[in-house]
Amino acid sequence: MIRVSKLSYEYPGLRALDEVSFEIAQGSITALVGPNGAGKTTLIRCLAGMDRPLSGSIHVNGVDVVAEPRASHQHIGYLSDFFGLYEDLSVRQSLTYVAAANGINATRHPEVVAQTAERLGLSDRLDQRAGDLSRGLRQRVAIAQAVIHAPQVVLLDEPASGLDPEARYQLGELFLTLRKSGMTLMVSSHILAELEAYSTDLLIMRNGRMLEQRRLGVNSTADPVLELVVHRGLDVALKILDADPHASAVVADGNTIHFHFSGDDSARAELLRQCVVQEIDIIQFSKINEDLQQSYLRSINESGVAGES
Amino acid sequence: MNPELRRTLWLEVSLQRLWLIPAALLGTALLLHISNAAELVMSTLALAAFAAITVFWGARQAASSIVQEARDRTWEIQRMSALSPWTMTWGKLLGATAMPWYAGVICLSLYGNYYEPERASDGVAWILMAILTAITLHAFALLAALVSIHLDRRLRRRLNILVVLFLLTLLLPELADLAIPGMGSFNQIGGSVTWYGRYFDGMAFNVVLLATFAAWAGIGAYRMMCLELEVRTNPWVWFLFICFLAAVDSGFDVANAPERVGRWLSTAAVYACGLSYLAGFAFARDPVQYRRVVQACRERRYRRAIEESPLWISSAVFTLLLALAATLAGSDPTVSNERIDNLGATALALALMMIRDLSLLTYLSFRRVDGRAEVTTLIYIAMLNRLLPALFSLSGIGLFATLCKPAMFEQVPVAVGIAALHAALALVLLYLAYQKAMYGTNPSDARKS
Repeated sequence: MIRVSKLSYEYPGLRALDEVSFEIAQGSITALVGPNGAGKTTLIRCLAGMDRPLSGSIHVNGVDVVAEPRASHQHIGYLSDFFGLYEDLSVRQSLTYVAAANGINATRHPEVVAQTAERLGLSDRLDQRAGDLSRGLRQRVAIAQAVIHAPQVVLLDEPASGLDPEARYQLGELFLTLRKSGMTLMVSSHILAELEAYSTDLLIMRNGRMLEQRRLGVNSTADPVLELVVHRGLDVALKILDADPHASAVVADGNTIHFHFSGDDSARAELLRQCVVQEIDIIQFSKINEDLQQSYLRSINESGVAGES
Repeated sequence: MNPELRRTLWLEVSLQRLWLIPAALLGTALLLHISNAAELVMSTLALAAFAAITVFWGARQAASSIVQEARDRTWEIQRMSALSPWTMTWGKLLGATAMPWYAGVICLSLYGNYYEPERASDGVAWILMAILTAITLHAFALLAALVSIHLDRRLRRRLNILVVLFLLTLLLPELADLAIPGMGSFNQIGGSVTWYGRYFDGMAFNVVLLATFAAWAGIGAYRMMCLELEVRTNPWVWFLFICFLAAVDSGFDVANAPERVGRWLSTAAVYACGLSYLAGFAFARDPVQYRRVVQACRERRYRRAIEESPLWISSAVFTLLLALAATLAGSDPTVSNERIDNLGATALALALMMIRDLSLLTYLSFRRVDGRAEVTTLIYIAMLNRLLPALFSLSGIGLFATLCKPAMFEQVPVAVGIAALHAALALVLLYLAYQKAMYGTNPSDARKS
């Protein structure tokens, strides 16, 4: 549904996107995560055809976004991180305007507005002034405006920022509903716990580069991630891991070491035996199942290690 | 119905405004009528009210239709819509100014009612001119607002473009002296006008001329809207506008003008020069835009490179071509070469000086020394064109004075040579600043590029 190839974007003295390439399947909800300044907002704006990249290509539902940004807008719904609403218009007027501005036939406006309002839980707010709504409801109106023309792709930049926990939960439920109706979503956020509740895919960015893309619930590599927690002898443990051909992506944090391990059970037993022989005080040696937060932090740390080396 | 028009009407039109405006205007008229005010006073006041309400309030409303969208962060909703630039342009122009026009219709009705019946045709012409002036200013206000939000996004600090233009007319004596009398010839109200050897009624001529300017302002607003809505455009409309101005101006005062092709080329070069300054100062100067042009050239996508080019560069290239053509056509030695239509090679010197000034402006913008590149450039231009030549002349160092500000009309070949040197130096500075702006803070990017 979304195909990005070698996308680059520059600000003066800074490459915000550095030959980013990825593909996103139809019907997925992709969590776009990364530290501040990673290039998430720039990427989303380029995908929405709001900013022109320096080079590279973007195709959304087969439409070349770089060459035909206006044509691509029929297929894309976009919610900016700092969105605005027409404060003096009612919710009904706002939605009617956006429906008309997106080329929906005037005879269908009442029906489309009612359907969208119902989907977004705004049916009882249609005649209220947009300026009088709470933050959570304003967010819903903004999303309703982004999806009223039933786009195939919806891009949301930090949609949960400023919302209370209940509103954030409801937002997640809403994204699942949109996904069920056949839309493909990309959601940029810092709140990883919420993203995990509804995301099917993960895209991690750092310094304008794509660090990792994978389906959630499936590790990015075939190698499991092992955790070694030591009481004493961290340096020795790191040397052993460095010399072990099965260990890779070794990241130490305090007394805890995470690493990928490609060996079988006997190789794992041999590694443990070496640690014991070297008199390392081991507290824990186990395979871990990463949640989104851990996966994100590991990718970020690994990239930091790679960047330093 | 145009969705944008309907939305702005929802916002602008209220029952209260619908009855309050006519009540206030007609009430005032009634009061003056009862006070036995003269018909001339009544008609003049009605026209003045039209100017204040429809022309100026309307222009403010047209500009606000964009500026407020940007401030309220709703502009992105519009940029994501499927509305065409033309639909958006006329929807905003008509919708945002609906109430000023509503008041304007009442004002013009009062004006028509009190205008001298024996001069009815003049009255109609004045009404048409008032309407066309309002349309022109509304469209220009929309255009200027679109340019300003462009600036706001990239360069937060900016100088009012009108102030810049005023200062430029003081600091660029040759260009201002040449262009201002030319512009003055557009303004012959009353009597008859001689244009390309034909006599026209002054009123009718001005109405037609204003109508064409209104159309150009509308086209300008539309083209700027295209830019905002990511619809790619080429600068050919800009070139056409330059040619139009030259064609209009060349039609005046034919009797005393040299009869050559160079006459039009010379005039066109001067207008192109002036409009290049306008484009240079009005639009944002973002090194990333230049980077995209370089990238498009590297990829041999020349059409894209032209689309991405900053307007002043396209305009400067067009000016150079016109100036070169005017140089080749030569000037008529029997007529002063200080006439806008008889510059010959002086046009080339003016074009090169313009390239120097705008390269300097862009260089200072890229350097981001104090965030006020426009002011700094004006100071540099003042020093080069006024202060330093005066100081050198007073000190008896005439050579240095000439090197700073060559005698454009007296020693034309020398002036062209010195102007070319100035332009080349400024372009080198610009290139260095571009390199520093794009790659100065991140060496790894320089390697990649």
